[in-house]
Amino acid sequence: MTISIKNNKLFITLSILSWSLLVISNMISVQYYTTTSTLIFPEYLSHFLLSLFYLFTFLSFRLELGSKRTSNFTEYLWQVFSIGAYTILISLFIKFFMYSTRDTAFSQNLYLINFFYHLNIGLITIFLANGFYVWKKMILYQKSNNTPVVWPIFEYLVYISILSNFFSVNILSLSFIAIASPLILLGLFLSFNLKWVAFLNYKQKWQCTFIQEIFDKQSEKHLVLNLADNVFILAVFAFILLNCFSSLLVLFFNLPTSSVFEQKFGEVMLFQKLSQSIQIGDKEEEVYKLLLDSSLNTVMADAGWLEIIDEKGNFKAFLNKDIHEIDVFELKKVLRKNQVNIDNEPQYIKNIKALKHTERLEKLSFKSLLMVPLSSHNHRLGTLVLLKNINDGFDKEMVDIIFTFVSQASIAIKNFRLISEAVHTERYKEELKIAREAQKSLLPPNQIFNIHTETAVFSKSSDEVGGDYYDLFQYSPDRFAIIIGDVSGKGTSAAFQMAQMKGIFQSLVQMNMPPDEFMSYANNALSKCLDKSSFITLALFIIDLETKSINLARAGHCLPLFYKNDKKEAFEVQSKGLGLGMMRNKNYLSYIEKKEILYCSGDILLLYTDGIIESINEYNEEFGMERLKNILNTNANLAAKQLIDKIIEELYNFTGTKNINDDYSILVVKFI
Amino acid sequence: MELTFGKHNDIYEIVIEGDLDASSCIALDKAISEAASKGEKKILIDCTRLNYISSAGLGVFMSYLQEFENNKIKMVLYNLSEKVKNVFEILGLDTLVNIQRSKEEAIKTIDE
Repeated sequence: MTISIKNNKLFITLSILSWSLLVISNMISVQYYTTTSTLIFPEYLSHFLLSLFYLFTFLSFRLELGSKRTSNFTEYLWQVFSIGAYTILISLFIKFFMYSTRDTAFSQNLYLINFFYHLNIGLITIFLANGFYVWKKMILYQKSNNTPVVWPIFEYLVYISILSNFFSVNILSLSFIAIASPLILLGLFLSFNLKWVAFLNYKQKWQCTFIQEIFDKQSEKHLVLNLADNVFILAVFAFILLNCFSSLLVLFFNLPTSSVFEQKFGEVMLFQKLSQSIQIGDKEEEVYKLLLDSSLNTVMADAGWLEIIDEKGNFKAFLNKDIHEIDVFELKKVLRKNQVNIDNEPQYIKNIKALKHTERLEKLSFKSLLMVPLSSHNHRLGTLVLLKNINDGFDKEMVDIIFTFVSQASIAIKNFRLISEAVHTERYKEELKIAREAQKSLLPPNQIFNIHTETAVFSKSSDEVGGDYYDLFQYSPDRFAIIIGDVSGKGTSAAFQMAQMKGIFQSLVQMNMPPDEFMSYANNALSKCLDKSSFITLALFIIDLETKSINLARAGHCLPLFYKNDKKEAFEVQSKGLGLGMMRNKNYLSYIEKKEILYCSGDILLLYTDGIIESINEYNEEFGMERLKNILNTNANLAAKQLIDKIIEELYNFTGTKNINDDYSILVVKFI
Repeated sequence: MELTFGKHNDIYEIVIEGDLDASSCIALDKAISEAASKGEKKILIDCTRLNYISSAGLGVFMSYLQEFENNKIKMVLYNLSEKVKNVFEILGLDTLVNIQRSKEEAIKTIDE
């Protein structure tokens, strides 16, 4: 900043200096000429000094007016005007002085004439430089694609034309026109960059018009007073005049539309406000008020109301302005009677009084009605209604604006509702996590050891909670029961039923009854609590370490696998059975059979749920019973936990993912 | 999953095509329920192109057993794939639901 001020002072100094030198050299020339009739200085000296003067004056104005964008055009125009006024005044004064002293010796004084001549030149130059750079500011205010390119070319050409000083050219000669035309054409092109006019408000536009008029007159006056057949001066004059003229025209013609422009601007600000009201912390209710008020104001409606409904379709809010609720009610009745769809479609009624059944509306002054529904994603959020006291009072522009307001407000309202839904969902997620922990506590530990058996289990649910069940009950050190089950379906409802199953098992198992009877009682208990299309598959094994026997019943559950160590092979344990809940009467017992198998050391009992064998890979093939059997056969030597780990590993390899779309569990009992 | 319906003589036929999972079984449930309420006494279910049945699908068949017995409505499933048949057998549902191999055999049992 300080550098450019220094530069500016430098330029000003230099320009004053060159002007002074010009005057002095001219004076000396005059004096010399009057005495010797020859020129002491070569002609180009005064041309040179004049060029310097032009150059430095222009440069100093260029710097002073700077390259900062400003919208304070009126201020700059006043500056131009005042400088113009001064220069004109001084010119006029000189003129007057010369005129009034025309008969005296004064007027014949060559020095004086010369001095005044150069003074005039100085004044014009200052005037022109100021005008030139103020126009530059205006033209470059809103840069289009080519102004930043064209303007510098124009400016440099103008500076180059300073050199025309060295050639005195006839104004009408071809060379003059050749040089001057590009300048004038460029000037013309640039003077049509009048976008800055749009940015003035109405009052400013009037002021500018006024100032421009005066400036125009000043330029013409100067031109008349001080005609110079200098390309440079003429080009700049032409440019300034052209600009004046075109901007006057534009300003004048923009005056009537100024108010429309300002109104549009105001509307845009309103949009901004509406979209900002989506921020968290503001309430949905604030959007209602903003919508109704801005709609009423923007289209200059006389009355209106806004109805809002909640997600369930129930009435939520009602705002009315300048119309009683009772009248709203009556008006809606009339619309319904006239089969106007007041819920789903926008409606525009040019004259309410022209409708039928409007007896009760006679005392109301409203004539035209605009009704716009608020909606988001096909859900109706409410309705906005605006009324005017004149027929057909809403033009297309107004309707468009209201539609835009309504859609903005609808988005805002929808957002508020989504945010509150999201908060609720978070709470549910937390509850599910708690449920998961609760369910985990219903299941026995993963591994149990005693002298004669090794038991291990793995279970995973597809959601937070699931429907797979396994449990254990120790009758005595030598006798225990193992149960595995699967509730139909998955998720929360299956988890609840699983919990009921646990309760039933833990109570019934104490009765120490044979497994098929257990199933019958369990079926009975469940018949009342299971819902109509749910069922539970179950398999119960009572293991007696003393007799080395397993007594089992299979209520529709996947066939258990029993690996016989002596045959080194696993086989499916077949037994007749029916899922629990499939037959909810006493006949159930006849559908279930109990079975006994004896075991030896090294035998393995493998229990699982259908999530394992029904898992699919990318080719839609099922994991299947055979594969499970093979893995059991190959890895029978492993400890129970390692065996399970191996099976799970093979399962994930097969499906290619750890995400199985069902609950899945494996339970292994290895007999030592 | 797609369902197609037909009527031949006094037998109402439902053809199931695709997978019967938790979402698609709702349509089947509705179809069977409508058939029963319209007064159909003989319902034939073509399972030739039934690929997969979930516990929800099984639940649908199961839920109508008592009602059909009470109202003397006969429902027969036929031409089940090995896989689907196996599912019914493990659950024991094959003892409660009438499953036949072919359409002819199915019509024969339903007319008995």
